[in-house]
Amino acid sequence: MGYEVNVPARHGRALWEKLMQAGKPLGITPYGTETMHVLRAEKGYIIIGQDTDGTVTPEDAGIGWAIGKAKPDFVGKRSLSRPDIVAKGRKQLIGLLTDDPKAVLVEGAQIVTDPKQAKPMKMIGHVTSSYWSEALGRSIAMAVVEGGFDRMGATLHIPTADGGAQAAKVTGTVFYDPEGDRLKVE
Amino acid sequence: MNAPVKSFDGITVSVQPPVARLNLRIAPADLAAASAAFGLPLPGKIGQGAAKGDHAAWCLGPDEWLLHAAEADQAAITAAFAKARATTPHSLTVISDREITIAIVGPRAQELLSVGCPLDLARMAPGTAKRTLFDSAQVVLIRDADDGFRIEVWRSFFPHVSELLDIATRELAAGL
Repeated sequence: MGYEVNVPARHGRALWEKLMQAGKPLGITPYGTETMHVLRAEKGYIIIGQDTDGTVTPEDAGIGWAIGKAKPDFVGKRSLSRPDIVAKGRKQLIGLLTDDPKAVLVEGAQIVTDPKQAKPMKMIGHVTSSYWSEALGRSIAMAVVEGGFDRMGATLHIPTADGGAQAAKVTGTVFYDPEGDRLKVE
Repeated sequence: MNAPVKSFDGITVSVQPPVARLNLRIAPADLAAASAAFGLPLPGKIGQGAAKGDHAAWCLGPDEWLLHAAEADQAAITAAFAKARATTPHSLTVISDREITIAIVGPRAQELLSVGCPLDLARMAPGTAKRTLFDSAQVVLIRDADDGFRIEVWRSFFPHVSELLDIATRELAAGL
């Protein structure tokens, strides 16, 4: 539950100071956009345009649940059943947990199954989001990978600029409290 | 030695006190209703300005006016327009805090403005206003007199415009 408070700009600073003062006994904590990026990634909330591009469908992104299955028709419905849209091997959004928990993958880095293969390597996807998670005490990342949903638990490799590669396991995209226990209210 | 020079013989650059500042969008055919609500006949020609007491207005576009008044009048003005909305559709937006006014006055005011403004300022008549650019910032430029201008610039661009004016003022003062 949140509020958005608007005041004429000249009162902005005074409002901020009043809010911080009033909230101090309640432990008020200002946080910025970088924190919001990490928080949303820990819960698997995607950023359209970062974790997706124009080729990614709701199913690919793991949010097929949002499509109203009971709707008789809607703009785009027919597109969702086109042969290439339902084909196997589509790039799908998955989570990546590096074998080295301190290694933070580079966003945009390419993903391969065998880092020792001859170049040019077969690239099967790329890292879309990557952060250090203080709450989890390790790095987390999301990526789009060919047939990603069928690769759960597999180890993939992310070649690095120095010629080496990071190994990472394919996981779901919800890293923090995946069961949602913290959201349940008695 | 680097103390900011805000004025010398040729120019004074100063930030003006806040005003009630409003943006009006209304069909030209309905202008009389807006003039009645504002208490000032609004100019019909693009660029033209009008003033009475501390109420002022400039036509910035085919259906757009910039209105100024004393801060204390703002509530009464918005109430008058709210009443007019019953019969005359329009949009009146309070933008008082959105912008800051910088006055540039003196014999070299036009020269100073030419540092950032691409218009042929010699052709801008006193009593008129234009939406234009100062460097890369969108501004409303008001000409009050041959040697008097006001720039209205959005709050977030103010530091940029203000600093450029400072630098240019110092350059002119130094004879550059």
